[in-house]
Amino acid sequence: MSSFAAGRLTRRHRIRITPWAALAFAAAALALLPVATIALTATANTGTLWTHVIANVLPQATWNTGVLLLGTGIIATCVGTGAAWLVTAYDFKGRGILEWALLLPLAVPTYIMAYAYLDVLSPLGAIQGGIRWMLGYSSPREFRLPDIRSMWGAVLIFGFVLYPYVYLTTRAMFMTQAANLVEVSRTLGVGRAGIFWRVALPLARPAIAVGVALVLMEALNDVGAAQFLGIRTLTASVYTTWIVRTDLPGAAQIAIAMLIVVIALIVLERWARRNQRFATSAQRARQMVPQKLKGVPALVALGLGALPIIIGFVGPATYLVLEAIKRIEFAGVSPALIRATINTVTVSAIATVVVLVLGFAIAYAARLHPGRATNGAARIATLGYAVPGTVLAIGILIPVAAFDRTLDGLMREWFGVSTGLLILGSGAALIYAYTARFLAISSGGIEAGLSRIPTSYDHAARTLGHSSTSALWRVHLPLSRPALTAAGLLVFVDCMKELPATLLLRPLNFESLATLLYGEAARGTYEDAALAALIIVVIGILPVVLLARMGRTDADRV
Amino acid sequence: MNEKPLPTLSLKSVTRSFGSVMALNAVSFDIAKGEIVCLVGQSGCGKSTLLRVIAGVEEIDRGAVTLAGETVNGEGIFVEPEHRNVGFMFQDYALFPHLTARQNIGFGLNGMRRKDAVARVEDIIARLGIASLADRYPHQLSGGEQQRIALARALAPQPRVLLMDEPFSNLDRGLRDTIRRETIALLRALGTTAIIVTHDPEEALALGDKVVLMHKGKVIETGTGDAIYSFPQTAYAAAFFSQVNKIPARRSGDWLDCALGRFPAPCGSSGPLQVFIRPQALTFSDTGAEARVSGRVLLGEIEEVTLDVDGLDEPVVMRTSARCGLDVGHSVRIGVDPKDVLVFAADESARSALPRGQV
Repeated sequence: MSSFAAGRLTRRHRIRITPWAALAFAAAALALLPVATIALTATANTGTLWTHVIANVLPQATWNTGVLLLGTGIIATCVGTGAAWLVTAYDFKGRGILEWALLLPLAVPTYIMAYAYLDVLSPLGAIQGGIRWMLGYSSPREFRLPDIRSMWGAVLIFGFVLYPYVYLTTRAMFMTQAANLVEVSRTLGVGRAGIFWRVALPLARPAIAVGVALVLMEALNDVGAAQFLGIRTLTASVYTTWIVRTDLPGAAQIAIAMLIVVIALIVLERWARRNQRFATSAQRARQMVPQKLKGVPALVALGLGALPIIIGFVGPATYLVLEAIKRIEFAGVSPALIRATINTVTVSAIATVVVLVLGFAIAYAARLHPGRATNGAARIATLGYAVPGTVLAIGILIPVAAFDRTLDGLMREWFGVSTGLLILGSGAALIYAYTARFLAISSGGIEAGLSRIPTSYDHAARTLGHSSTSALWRVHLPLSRPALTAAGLLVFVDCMKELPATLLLRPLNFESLATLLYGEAARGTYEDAALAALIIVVIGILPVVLLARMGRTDADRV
Repeated sequence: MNEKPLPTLSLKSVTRSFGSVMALNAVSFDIAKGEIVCLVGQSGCGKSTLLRVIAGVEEIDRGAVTLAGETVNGEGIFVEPEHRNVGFMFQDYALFPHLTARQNIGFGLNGMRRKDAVARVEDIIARLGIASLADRYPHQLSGGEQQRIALARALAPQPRVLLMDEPFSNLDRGLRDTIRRETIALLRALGTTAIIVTHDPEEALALGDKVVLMHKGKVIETGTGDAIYSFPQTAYAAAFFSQVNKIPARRSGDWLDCALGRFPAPCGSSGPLQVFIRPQALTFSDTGAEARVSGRVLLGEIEEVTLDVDGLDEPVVMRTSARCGLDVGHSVRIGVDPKDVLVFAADESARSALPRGQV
């Protein structure tokens, strides 16, 4: 018995670190570094700065951010949930198109939305001109709409471009959960109208919470739109405190305030779906039978469903296409734009590969060695997704700049060569930021893909003489290719659209499509910006198509 | 010296717990070469965990697993599953969906020379008569066809032991008997050592050379199907392998008295006793105990009759092929074949191997 006990002891303490686990832990450490840095910087530097930030910047910026998030949340919830119910509960001409088209605003980043509407809705723009013409006014002095450069403008713009997150999660909930419960409540005497309020809405609450949390994180992350619209949010304050006042500790302190908001959002989301486990354990999915609409009601439904698409996608996209055509006819395609496109694609592609490899390592390590260590690594590695880009950028800049300086100093001392800003200057810091921010997308997607592969496949491969690495190549990779492709596409497009971290971490004279657009909009020059925005939107449609197709195959399977 | 040949597989006090649940509690048994063993028990009894332990996809906490004299788990040793040469056939077959049937079968022949591997695959395909299926993908195969591909894949590397986890449970009833017979015949022809896990008592009795009954992580009984059915050593085994009427009994001298009559008492017993009477041991008899018919269910060739007997709380179940044409409420007299009476201590947790009284 004692010899067995000794054997057990050695086994318990044997930690088998496969390359996958090592990579997963490394990814977790990389993701943790920026957040830890922010926390340390903000608490360590207790000079006069705190008081300045607290007195002059934080109250106004926090108030603005709070109002913006609240308004955006309300609009996104109403539009997203309403649209999801409309296409689930009713059948009318055009419903099939609405189903996927309602996702299209996802292709438009908030800063492009704001950029487009600033011009479209300007007092001298097409819309206001048209209204004046119809009403018989001749000058903006006689009649003008309220200025879009205001809080209400920002709330509307954010709400109508971000509602698809709520639409997506809520619709999935309605599709998989609603049918049985709706039928049961009909037999219990609840009318069609009552079902939405008494069954569907309470049922969808966890899904709405997930969607709204995503909406608010996106809104919090935004730096471009808020600035174009003149709203001094926390994110915008971080940016100006750093760039204009070159006050890094001050920026870090505001970043802490943002992290608190993020944590509050996560807690809210967890709390709202604390009972979701019970909800999702319902029986197999079956779609509810929609009510057929004809005549005027069908037209009204179509109009209601089309409205968010027109505001959130068709409007800005049409504007961008027209402006881009004008620009190409006038000046052709500028070399600066081509350079920016090449830059964007290159950096995004490199980041995508890094993110996919690390994401796969995290997901596969958790599968190979299920346990607290690998699970913890997975959780930590996905932290970055919730951290706004500006905050992440500051958290990365501080340690990376210190590293660059130290390395440069050492190299000069020992070899007499200057390495300069090795990581910052080469753009590696940018790839680091993209990786930290989007790792959750790839690890989550790949994890979901792997989880569809039964563990009996792993065991079959192992008992048939294959090592875990051989099983990976011959079983897991081929079988999770769709998940990998989808994750890669999502990451690539997100990198390409990313503005706040790119603004702060890009090397000198490096422009991506997003920063090019930002620079021109900020200067008010509007030269290549429309074309750059159009490229971003067109590529951004790809993952929307993917999402729409995923939704469709889900529906087919039902 | 006539040394006993080394067992192909030997388990010694194999113990494995998940949190506070003892999935395997000091499990020990040996399997000789060419033997086919049925591992049977209710779901959650630990039989699947035991298979996984033998395959090496699960590690043990204590004890030792030995394959042909070589320890593969225990005493600080752990041999990875890919180095054990143990075949595993999964309940869901786990055929790789991206590979054809032929590629699936060849999946385990990685280390072999290509020519030999191809020959081995063709040989096993011919043996199982599945040439027409070889180039199809798993989703193009029916359940029975998938089962045969999975069997072929597990057998192709010529494993030392073949482990089969509920290999027939995913098949339709009609198909199941045919495939079961063919599979066992093939294993016998190849001389394969195999462990078949099942939750079905009839399947367990029918299939193997040896039956291992597990309950809550422990081995309750081991023996041939005949022995374990006819002479169960525990009340649990008796009740597991067939339906029984449990009837409390009182000892008076050399006899046991119960509501259904008087039987010879086992020697050396103390404490309260109960007799187990299988439904088919009950007969209609003019001299037996009085009973009233309370229900009838036709099961096909036989009929199940439930009877209320004075002095018993529970109705007694009888199975008979005599079409008696009785209706509910009729009074009858029933007798018991004393050879089919099993006696156990009333406390079933006690290991109550009571010798049978002489008739």
